[in-house]
Amino acid sequence: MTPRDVLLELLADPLPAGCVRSAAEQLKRLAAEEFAGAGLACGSVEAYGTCRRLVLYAAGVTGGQMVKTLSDIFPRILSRLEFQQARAWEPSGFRFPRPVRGLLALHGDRLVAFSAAGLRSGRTTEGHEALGPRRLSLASAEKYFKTLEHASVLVKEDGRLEAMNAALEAASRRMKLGIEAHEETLGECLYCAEYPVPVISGFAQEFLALPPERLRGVLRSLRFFPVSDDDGRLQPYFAAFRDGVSKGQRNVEDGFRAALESRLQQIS
Amino acid sequence: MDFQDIILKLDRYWAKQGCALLPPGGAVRRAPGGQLCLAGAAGCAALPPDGLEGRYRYRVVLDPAPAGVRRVFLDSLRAAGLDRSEHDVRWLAFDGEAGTGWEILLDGLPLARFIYLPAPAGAGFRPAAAEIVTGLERLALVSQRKKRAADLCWSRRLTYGELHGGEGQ
Repeated sequence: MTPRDVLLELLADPLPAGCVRSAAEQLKRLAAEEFAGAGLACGSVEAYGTCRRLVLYAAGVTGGQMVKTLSDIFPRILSRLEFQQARAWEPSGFRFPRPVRGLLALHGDRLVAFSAAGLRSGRTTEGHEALGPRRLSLASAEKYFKTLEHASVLVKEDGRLEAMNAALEAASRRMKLGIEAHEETLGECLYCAEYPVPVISGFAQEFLALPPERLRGVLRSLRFFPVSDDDGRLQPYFAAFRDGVSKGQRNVEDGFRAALESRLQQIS
Repeated sequence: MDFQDIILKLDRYWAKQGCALLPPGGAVRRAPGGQLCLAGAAGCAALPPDGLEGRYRYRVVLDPAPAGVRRVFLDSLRAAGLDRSEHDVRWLAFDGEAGTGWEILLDGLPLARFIYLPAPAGAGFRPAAAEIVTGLERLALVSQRKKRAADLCWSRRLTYGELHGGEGQ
């Protein structure tokens, strides 16, 4: 049998940003353990997380009775995930930080059927929430990342980070000013948006009278990126990310500006 | 859409979802273990310290919360004249003693609080109840594309500012 890829996706209500990275790491470790225990060989095991999903992806998996084995392994992996804050949302006793809304599990083009969190696994998922409640049906595991990208979800952390960095660089070139791409802020943004779209906005000149580090602190607390000139002097602009489509950019720019200015008014 | 129309649209929307519309101050005592589904607008004399803007709130209680409750909430915003695709909606998670939920930011500004209430102690598993409180001023500002609450149209003849002694400038 030709080796096929294996996919498990858990779709949930928006998750606390702090728990996703650790959950994805656990998912990867537990999957490697369980696969080895069941005698499944695979090319690679990776796990990814967004604010709404946890994804396990193993490439080129071979072994006997694959679908049967995976349908035993998947619920076990999910039940072994640990969280600082979690509760039971349905009678099965499965605990999770927020309610689980969908399970997608495929081996190549075959459905891996199991039950967990009071749900049965299927071959459908959802795209970005801003696009409405459209269901996506997956023909095979191998089509997962492309299908989700078309539905405005960048599943891989690398992909989102790359998109954010590229957007900040492009905006910086356009403005002929530097955007301070603070790594910690980028890390926070990583689990706040499934499809980060850049927003450039500004604030009233008068706030530049505030101590620069204070101003930077307020901007970063809102996950905004300060903008400065070649000499590092702050400018009355900032960059930020919204989640999803780029319609109504003006609304978002105005809202972000109002959120920032009200915070700055409180401290000045 | 006038401020009062937003309330009327939300009332109609939530009534269609099976909610009982409750005038402010109504004290509901439910049968033990019974289901509950309530909705209604309320005003506060003092500005409520809930992190939302303004003095008017639209409160919905769904017990138990249906699986699609977040989508039902997003659709209620559409009923109130807000096009979701033209805005950034963020769900900032919090976990506290009062429950588990989100502060919902619309274009970076607080719009609503969505809470799954803590499970009552004992007596086995009960599905979570949800409470959603929306700041009506913020919703109306976006729906009417206004910058200041005072400029909001309350009814065809009156603005929010005229009704509240110029508040919201």
